[in-house]
Amino acid sequence: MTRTISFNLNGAPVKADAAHETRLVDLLRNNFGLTGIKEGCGEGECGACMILLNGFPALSCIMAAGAVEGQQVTTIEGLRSSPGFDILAQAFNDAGAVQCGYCTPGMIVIAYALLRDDPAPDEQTIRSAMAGNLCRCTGYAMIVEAVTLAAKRRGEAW
Amino acid sequence: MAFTKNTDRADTSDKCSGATNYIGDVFFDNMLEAVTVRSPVRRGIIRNIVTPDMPKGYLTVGVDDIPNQNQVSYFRDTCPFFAPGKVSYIGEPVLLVAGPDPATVRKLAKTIHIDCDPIQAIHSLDEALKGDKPPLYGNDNVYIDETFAYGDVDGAFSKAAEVFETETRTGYQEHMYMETQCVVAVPNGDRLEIHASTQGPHALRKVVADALGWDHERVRVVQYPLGGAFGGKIELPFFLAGQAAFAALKANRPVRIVYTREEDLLTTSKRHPSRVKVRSALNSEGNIIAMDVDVVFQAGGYAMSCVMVLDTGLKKATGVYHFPSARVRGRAMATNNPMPGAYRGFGAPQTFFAIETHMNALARRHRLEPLKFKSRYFISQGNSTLTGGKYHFPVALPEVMQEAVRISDYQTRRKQVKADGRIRRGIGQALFNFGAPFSLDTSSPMPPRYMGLLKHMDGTVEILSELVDMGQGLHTALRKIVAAALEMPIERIIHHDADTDCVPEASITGASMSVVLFGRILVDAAEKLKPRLHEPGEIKVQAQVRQPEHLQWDAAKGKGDPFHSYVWGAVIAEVEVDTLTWQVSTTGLWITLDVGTAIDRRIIRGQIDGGVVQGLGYALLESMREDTMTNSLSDYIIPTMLDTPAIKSTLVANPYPPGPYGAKCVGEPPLVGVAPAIADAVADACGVEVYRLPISPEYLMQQMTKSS
Repeated sequence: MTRTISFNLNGAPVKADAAHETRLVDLLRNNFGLTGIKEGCGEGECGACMILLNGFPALSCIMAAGAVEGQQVTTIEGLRSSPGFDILAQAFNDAGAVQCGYCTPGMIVIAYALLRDDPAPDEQTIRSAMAGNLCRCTGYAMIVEAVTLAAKRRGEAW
Repeated sequence: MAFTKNTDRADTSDKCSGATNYIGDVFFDNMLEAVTVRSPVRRGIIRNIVTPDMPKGYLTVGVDDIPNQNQVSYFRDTCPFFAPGKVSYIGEPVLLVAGPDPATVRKLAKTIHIDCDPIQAIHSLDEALKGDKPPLYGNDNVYIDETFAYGDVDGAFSKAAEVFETETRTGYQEHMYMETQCVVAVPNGDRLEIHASTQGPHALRKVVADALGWDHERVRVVQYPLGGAFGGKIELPFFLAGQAAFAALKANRPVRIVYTREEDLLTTSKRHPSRVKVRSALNSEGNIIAMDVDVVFQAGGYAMSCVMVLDTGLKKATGVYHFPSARVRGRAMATNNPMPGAYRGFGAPQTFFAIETHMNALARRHRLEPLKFKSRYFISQGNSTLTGGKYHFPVALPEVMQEAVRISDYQTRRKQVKADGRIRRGIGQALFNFGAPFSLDTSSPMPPRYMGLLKHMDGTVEILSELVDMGQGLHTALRKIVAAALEMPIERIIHHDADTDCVPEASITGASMSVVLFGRILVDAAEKLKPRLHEPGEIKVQAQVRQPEHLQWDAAKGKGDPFHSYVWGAVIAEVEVDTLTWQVSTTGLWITLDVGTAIDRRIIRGQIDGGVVQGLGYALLESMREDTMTNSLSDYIIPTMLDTPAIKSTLVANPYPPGPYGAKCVGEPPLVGVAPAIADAVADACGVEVYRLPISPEYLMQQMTKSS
């Protein structure tokens, strides 16, 4: 059984037909080609599938597609054109925070939301806010440094 | 040549924006999804497979669909793509179901019933050694049994004033690359393309072609960016690519296999669980006169690369020490468990945990300052190796140790008060070396392997190599080396992900050999190209892979220099133990490494931080039951941002002359010393020795109860 879901995706109204059991991550990746969203675990443990739902971080692998009916969904693709993204991407580069890159879009999404709400988070705040995003390559310190650097360079970006 | 500037990686921007396409992000026209149907039992004979009628467009693929051989040709021992009439572990692939709709494929796969006559299973390495169950491999379950020794070990033990024995045990460690295994096989005329997340494109091509009975050239492997690997994408992609290939040829359509995290955890390779007994013989002055090490690995239902992993671990089992006599024996045991395999450290994390724990416990027993005690036995330049070779180059071990002591303020911290209410504090250390690359026989010619450079019309130079950037930054490091050799800006040097139609065979990417060995070969190629850079048109040069001239290795006898070069390292760890919960938290980690010349400090730091945190997980958190009940990321805990302390790392420069501009390796070493250093810190805090990994609260509580 399928039904039509209407929601706002990266600033534009969209409609999609989806089976009842479709997960949001599959809807976004398969129907809309938004493959910047990654699936790492399928159970909400790793944060690779992170999106913003009405501006707040949410995990698309443990959400039914139908749950976004009438809501606003922002993915990494939707953040690309924002000044905050440019600052974060540059800081991730400069701090050496990217290795395999599979966790990176999720890391950027959560960091984006963090810096919007907290202009100058200290290290412990960053670590607490991002503890739900797993990375197996970097050991995290360079990611924390990247977010700290982005906060310093934030200007009027958020 | 000074590599003082950090280089921006070419892949960072797309990885940040999500524009990087991993193989799982690519959709091919008419592609079928395949799901693996697996053995429900540990051990048995397959009596019957009950398959429902397949809807139109859906198919099953099994042993009978393999055109040539049901064997991954990369391995010495039996390693089938599909269970060969019998099963040897829970989760062993029996067949595939493939079709256009993934949800339907999964439902169909669940309805297939595999009927087995059970055989008594071998659950652990202890059961495999005991041998009271029907043997799984040969008549003794031993995949490999080898010994390296020098001096009169038995004589030393017979006249010893004291014999000290320890037994350490470690469990599975899962790679937990964030991108699960994925491969797509695409028929293309009379050829087949494999689009893969693999550490060895050419090796994968051979495996698939051999299984099909085809000339290797008919298979093309296209490499995609890897979402992490750590050794876990050498062996498993062979199986997936073969299986997908059989399905793609049967259906004449592209077929994709993408593992769920559950499948990946249950059935892919992991670090070998181990039991290591270390015995030292001491004379009446308290000096070690012999060291005897007995290593046993639990090696699962099929051998895969356990022969190489064990062999490499054994050659490192006497640690950073040269004893008057030593013997190292190792066995890898067949059991009815998932197949372990290559994982960052490749046998060394187990053997270094054993030797360092032994040496630290021995120092404590004799009430000696551990670093001073251990330094009596330090390897120095010119010493012989366990295998009768030689440490040819300067050994920076004392410098590395002193530097780690300095940056951690180790001596002051050691004197700190241990008990503080319910919290106990401790500080520990471990010393290690890491030999890499492993040597190939030097008495016979190496198979011809090449690294190439291609100057394009526009003057840019492309590196033609199959070496894989799995996130570690290898392509940037190689580009930097070539840029230095050609005296060109690095922006003009390119390294694409490999396509076996376009780049020559060199090697799988692993064993920490890419920069130190193949980087040097690229310098050779650059020296050929440099005088011709001004010539118009395309110019292609190749340099043959060769081992350094100092090397002597007799593979048949296991005699000579086992490794080209050695990284030297020291780790200091500080912990807090909560005596109410027996939870251990790491409050500080310091590491000093001699990696020769540092090619890019930012990339090296990334390798150090990442390796250290994997080592921290191995020491404290990562626990996997051998009965395959650990099947999710909520059961298998890896470190998060909140579990990792500040890591301070420094480098000691000790250039290795045969390496490119003096570089050695950095990929694997940072992981190796962390677990023994943390174990030593816990022992220091609690006053009991720690012989298990991970150091779980349950284990620590047991040890404390035993001692009181």
